[in-house]
Amino acid sequence: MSAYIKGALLCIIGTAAMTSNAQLDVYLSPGYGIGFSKARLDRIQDSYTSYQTYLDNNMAGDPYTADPNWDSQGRIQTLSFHLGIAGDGVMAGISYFPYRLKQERYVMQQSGYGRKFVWKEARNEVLFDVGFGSKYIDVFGSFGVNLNTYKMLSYQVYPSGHESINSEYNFNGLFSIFDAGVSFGAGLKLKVIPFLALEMRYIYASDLLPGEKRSIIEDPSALADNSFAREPGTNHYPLDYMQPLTLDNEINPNFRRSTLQFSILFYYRQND
Amino acid sequence: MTKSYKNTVLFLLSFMLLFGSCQKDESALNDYDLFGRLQFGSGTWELIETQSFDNSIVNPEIVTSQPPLKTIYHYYMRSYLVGGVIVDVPTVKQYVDQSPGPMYDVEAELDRVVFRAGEIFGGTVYTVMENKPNTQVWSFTAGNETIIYTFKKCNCAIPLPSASESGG
Repeated sequence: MSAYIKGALLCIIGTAAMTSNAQLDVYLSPGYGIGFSKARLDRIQDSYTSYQTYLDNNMAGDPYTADPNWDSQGRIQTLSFHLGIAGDGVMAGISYFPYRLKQERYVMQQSGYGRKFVWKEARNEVLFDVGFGSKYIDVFGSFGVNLNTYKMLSYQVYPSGHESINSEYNFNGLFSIFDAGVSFGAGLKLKVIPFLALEMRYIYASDLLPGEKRSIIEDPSALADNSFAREPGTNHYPLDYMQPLTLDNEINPNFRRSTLQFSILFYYRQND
Repeated sequence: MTKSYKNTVLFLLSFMLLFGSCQKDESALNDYDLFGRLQFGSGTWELIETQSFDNSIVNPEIVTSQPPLKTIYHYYMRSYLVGGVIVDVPTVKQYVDQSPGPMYDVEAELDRVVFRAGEIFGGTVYTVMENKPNTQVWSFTAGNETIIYTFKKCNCAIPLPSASESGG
């Protein structure tokens, strides 16, 4: 066990012991919730549309059927973790929401060949909650960061049904990018049921960190496949399939997302 | 509720945090690269079965076979010195019936694995079809032919080099 973990445990237990006679609850709670989320995915939507335009222009003799474009809004679910203190007029804590989102799209040609796209978002919201706390209700504002890994997988689909991400075709690939941004929001926690808390919160996850806009660190990042197996110069996931595959034909991450989240938390109240 | 019971509950809740990452692969930027799983433990995987078929037709005939000789793959991190800096390279070495085979640099991601035999660009690209702690199913496609490989984690002993002498 590392010294850091030991230290964290001692802090938590120590804080609990110190506050056990006060009117503050110390909570360490796993939670589960569903949310309604809306994202900005216009760039991968444009790319998907351009792929169909590419087929229209280059494979007109092999008609295709395509799934609808990427969903920019929908229902999401996640586990969450909460640590903090509440009561006596104050509330302060840390919340962690790991969202794992995935969408798939097929564009299948009459010949049996086609392409499968998979879009994955591994989002990690780390939020500091501060606000008013009491025995039965907490109201808080949140601020923090979102740490995200985005992946676009592009597979060749064969008539046998097999899907391959090999390097035989330039359109195949595993394009990924890490991006972080500032998050903020607000929420409400109800604690009227023993051992349970109901939480509603809004999270706005920006795609930029403070000072990142128009800075040198924003532009160079793009959805990229950095495998050595790839033909040099074709590493970026194309924004426009009608244009040559170059390092300029790229998608910079601007995938901000807002979420209205409802969670149920295990909540042990010490001061009953 | 007594104070000691409260503290016990709090301690148990705190202790749960320690197991949050059990059995997770090594991670860089939270992408959980597959190499951590491949090299975990002894890092040895045995090729159990291959299936080959023509991918250009619907419902192709699948030819299933087992390797005639025991074939294992050993995944490990190879370190060497470059310009005074130690560089770690994910590596795999193949052994067929106790005989050492080729060695490759490895790019192991959750959805794709690349074996590179020293070339700067290129390599053999496998699509990860199934990724479990003790089973890996990968496919390789070239033209109309697709081969599916099934590997099982085996904790096999790495064959030791046999003693030899060329002079003296």
